[in-house]
Amino acid sequence: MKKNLAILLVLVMLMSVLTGCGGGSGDQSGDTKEPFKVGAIYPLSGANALLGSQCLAAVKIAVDIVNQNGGVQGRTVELVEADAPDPTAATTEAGRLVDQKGVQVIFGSLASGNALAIAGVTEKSGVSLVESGGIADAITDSGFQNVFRILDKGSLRGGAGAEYVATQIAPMLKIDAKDLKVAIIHEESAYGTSVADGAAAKLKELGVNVVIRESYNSTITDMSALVLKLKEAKPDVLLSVNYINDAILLVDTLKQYSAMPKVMMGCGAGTTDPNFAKTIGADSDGIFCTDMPTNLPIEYFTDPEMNKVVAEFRDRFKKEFPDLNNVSVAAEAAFAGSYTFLNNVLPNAKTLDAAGIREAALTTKLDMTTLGFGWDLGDDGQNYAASANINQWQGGKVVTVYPEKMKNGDVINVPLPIAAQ
Amino acid sequence: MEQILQVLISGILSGGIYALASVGLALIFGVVGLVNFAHGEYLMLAMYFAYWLYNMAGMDPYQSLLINLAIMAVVGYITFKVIMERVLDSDHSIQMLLTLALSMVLQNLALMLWKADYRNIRIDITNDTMNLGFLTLNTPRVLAFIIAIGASVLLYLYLQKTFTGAAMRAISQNGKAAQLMGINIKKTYGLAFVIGTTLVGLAGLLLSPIYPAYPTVGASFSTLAFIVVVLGGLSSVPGAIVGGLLIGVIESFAGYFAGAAYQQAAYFLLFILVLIFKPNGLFGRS
Amino acid sequence: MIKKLLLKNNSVLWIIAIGSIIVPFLLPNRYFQDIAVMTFLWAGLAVSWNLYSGYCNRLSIGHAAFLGIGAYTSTLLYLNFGISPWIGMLAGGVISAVAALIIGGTTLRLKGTFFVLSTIAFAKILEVMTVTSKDITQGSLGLMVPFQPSFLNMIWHGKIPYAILTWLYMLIVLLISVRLEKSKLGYSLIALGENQQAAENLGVNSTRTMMIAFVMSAVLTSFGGTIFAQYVMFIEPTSVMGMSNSINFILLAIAGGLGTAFGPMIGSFILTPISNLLRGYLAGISGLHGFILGMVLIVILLYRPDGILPQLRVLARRIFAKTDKSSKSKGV
Repeated sequence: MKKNLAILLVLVMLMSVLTGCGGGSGDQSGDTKEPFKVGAIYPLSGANALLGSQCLAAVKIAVDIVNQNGGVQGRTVELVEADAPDPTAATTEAGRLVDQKGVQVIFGSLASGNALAIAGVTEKSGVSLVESGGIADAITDSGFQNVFRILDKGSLRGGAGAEYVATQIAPMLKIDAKDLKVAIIHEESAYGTSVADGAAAKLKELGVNVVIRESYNSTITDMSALVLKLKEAKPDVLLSVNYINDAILLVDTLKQYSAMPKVMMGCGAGTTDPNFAKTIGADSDGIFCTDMPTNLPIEYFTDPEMNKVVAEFRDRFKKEFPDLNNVSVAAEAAFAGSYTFLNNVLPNAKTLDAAGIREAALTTKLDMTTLGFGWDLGDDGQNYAASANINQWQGGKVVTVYPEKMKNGDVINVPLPIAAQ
Repeated sequence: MEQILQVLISGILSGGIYALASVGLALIFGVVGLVNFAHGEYLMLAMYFAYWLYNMAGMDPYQSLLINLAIMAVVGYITFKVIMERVLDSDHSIQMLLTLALSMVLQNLALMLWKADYRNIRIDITNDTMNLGFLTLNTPRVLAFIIAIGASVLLYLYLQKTFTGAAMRAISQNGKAAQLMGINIKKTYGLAFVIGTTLVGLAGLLLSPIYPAYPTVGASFSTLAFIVVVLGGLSSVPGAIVGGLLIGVIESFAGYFAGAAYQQAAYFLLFILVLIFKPNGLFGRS
Repeated sequence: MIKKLLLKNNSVLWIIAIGSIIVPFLLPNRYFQDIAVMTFLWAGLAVSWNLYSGYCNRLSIGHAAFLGIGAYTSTLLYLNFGISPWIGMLAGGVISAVAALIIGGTTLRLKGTFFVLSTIAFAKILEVMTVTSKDITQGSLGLMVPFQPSFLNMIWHGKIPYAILTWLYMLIVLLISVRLEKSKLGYSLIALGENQQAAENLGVNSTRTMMIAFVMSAVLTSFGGTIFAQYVMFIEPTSVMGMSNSINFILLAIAGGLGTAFGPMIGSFILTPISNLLRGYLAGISGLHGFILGMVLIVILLYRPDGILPQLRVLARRIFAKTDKSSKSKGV
């Protein structure tokens, strides 16, 4: 009996404490001294927690820097964080930030599914979603008015990798693009699928032969069968879209079966992750990765103020994640998205509401953000100044080899030394 | 032909790890009658222990094997004493749910303690291969296979040849009768649970040089181990070994012929087919 | 009189179920209203799940498959042919019924653990099929329902209409469940759950009984799937059909009280808000909310394995026993 009561009491207390925390909600007074509330929704638990927590850390640093410089239109920026392991949770959490915390801008969301779910909520309330991780085309192709994406879309990313393969790598291999044999291997979530679709479409357009296309679940623990099948197709170039574990496993397995094609072109996420080269070591030398510009040399940022900001971000991020020898591109993008929006876009807003912010986001034009490209949004909210760079692992570091203007090294190891003879 | 053989061999090698991950579950199910959905989480814990021992003490997973197994045995014992012992007589659905909740707790505990980072162990032999004629075999996978099958066979012999083993078999056949014959039921249950968690821990250790540890790494192994155990006829240790190998081979062939996207679906399909034609599993007693 | 109401039948529980609709109107903002909507929806889903699994005590860990069929059928019909989700909901129900007949035909005769695992296998196969049939389902890119509010589209601006919809869904499922409990079918089911052999000896046609309940449970779950899709407005294979949803059905039902019409509802009324609020307020430490939720469940299961509802009943009985005594002594 007593146990009964005790358990009930604990439950009731838990509930009241929790709802109590929510008190003082929805305070949206017009006083400009009020802090300006922004939210950050990332997967902090579940399968995507690793990059999610890095992104959140990056947004926190951006908010800190903006606050040191006086905040947004004289108001301190207050960050509310949320954990969304899946799209359903993302909907609820977006609701909490919007309806209870009264945030006007949300930074997110890493996973494309989460971005679409969040957009469903924010759109109804006129809250802006600044997307710096979700790559699926649908995020900016769905007619949302208040979704702004700083990074490139999946189809563009895959297309950029494919185009480089057809126009630059084929000549290096002394193979005519029409005779080049390309394999596409991608993980099967929204990210891998949208990038692979973009690559496949581009290759078709350029008349390049895709000899095999395979998808797999990113929790795969043995890629032998996949690699043996790939080996049989004898591709010259492997175009792969992976997360980190499967990227490492793929390279390992390719090596074990002596099945590495002459060139491996990764597209974002796994193959750009600092842990990729750290784990597989010297064999990573020469593996390409198409991604947003990442780990650009600090001199690239010629504007002294931006140079300082990027340096400060990298410094603070490394302190927070001492194990990493590079800042991950996901975190760089999360920082660029939040910092640019708070520092460059919002000050231009006549009013800090949906209409004012949209106008500011679309009319603000920047030649440079901390991500290395500019800010120039189309009516759909997509940043058309965003570009995908072709990078290559060289000596454990990501080196940009294309386009020319961001290039900081020459292509090495084509064909790869670990390629099958 | 060479390719097909290669695919078969790689399937058998993975199958060895699956078998080892599953025999423990079969034992726990057979003796204790407990469906343990947190089974995969012990694999995850063992991978983390292997990582920390590697990272802090510089011991590779093979060197730290015994220490790690001892830790896993202790962890298994604690789980049994604190949680499982209390629900031995409860309804099956309560037990299942309890293990589901336990798996939720362990996964999130790992996330809180060690963050979501992927913990890789790279040792010299991670990418070593041995060549048998035209066949290429990855050394850690071969080692894992040999140790896994060895441990499973040892478990089988233990059940067949020792008194405690006989007691476990007696309980799994008829608990009441065994009790009447003077077997200390609770103690035997505890022992079976500890052996079961230690064995799945061993599977995790063997996997650790080729696959990273992270909080949800065990989840897919829980379901897989269940499928294996059911295929093998629930409480049969040899059945689980054969079931594990079978799943490995099916997965490998499905990946090669149909595509990697269908690997999982293939063994689930096989599983349903088996149940339609042999409702008690491939090796089950009717 | 009140005491009689409380103890003799489900009146108080009905009052709670029906009266709960007031809650979303009292809540201060849409976040809490969202939690209320989710609570009703999950209550309805858990009660649906309980129709088969709870009464016959045979856990299905693959029910998210039916949630997925409901969500995908109505959404695909709506997106491709402009068919109203109200009709799509019925279509999803029909497809779920067919799927349940096929799945049930192969699995219902299986014993305990075999059955449990076969349900996982079916759900997994369906999930893989949804991911790989990219031409129809868009695979893992998921499907987005465009925001075009109208009654016909089952889409509204605010949360209140959704709260009413999910509340009605919950009530209808509850009504069916309560009716079932008192029907011959229900008695047979419960008898089967307690002892299949004995029930069969008494003349219960086990296959037929289980099949009817399984199909009913599947269809009602599928209806919930349509509502889910129209509410969240974004569906993808893993987040709809994945095992975590299936497990949630079971958690709610067992925490509340397995095999009682109202138990799963009580489970959802308590656990859905707790888990959402924990996630909301403990985001600072990743994993903490899942850890606490898991611990709460372990404690419930170790100390109150019948679930919360029977405990509430006992509690009510004690309170009334005391007030009875005191009123008697005063009366003298």
